[in-house]
Amino acid sequence: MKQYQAEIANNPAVEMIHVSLDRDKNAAQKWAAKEGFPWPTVMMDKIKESGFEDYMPRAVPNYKLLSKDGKIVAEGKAKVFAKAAELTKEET
Amino acid sequence: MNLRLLLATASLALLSQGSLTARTWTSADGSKTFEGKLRAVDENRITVSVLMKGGKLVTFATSLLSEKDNAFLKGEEAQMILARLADEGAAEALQNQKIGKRLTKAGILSKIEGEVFANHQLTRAPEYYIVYFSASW
Repeated sequence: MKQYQAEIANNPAVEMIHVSLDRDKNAAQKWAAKEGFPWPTVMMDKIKESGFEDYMPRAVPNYKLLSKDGKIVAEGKAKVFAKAAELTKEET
Repeated sequence: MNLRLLLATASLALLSQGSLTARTWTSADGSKTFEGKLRAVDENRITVSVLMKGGKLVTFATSLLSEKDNAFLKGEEAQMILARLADEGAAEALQNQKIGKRLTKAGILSKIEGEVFANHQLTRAPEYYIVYFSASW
């Protein structure tokens, strides 16, 4: 959360999207409310429609950096945040 | 009513009043007037861009405008017009993205508001998306 606030929240070139793999919407909602998630979420029943089904990981948590055209640019939390910073440093 | 909905409602109200249509601008010395639609103001309100009646976009110093016009540029009405223009620009850009296009469909995105998820729409068209897959368990 701190890394999101510091590096992403005010960066217009990057948006963080949470894809919830909770089948129980109430559980997902309680968790998001408790943590105060500041990012938008795609719920489990909307994953196919969102297009993120094509990027489903084998295990969670999982981070992927996608270009606006859907190309995977980086994967793994550290690599994703580092690459996002590198790619957008002149745009922030 | 959330802030975004409030702004959208206010913007619609402005539209119905014709505030997004051309307004009369006056030079600083009051000697000249012209018709045009506000299109942009830079961050420090040093320059303003106005779409002239003939369709030409003109950018000039706000110091050339009357006090009334400068007050308008600082006011809520101008901010709402600019916010609406930004929303329209972002919406169009999102439609041209593989990722953004799908995310703009109604009901795809939600965001926690207090204790519950509420429908959410992106207000900017980013170049990159960090997709965070996770679950509460």
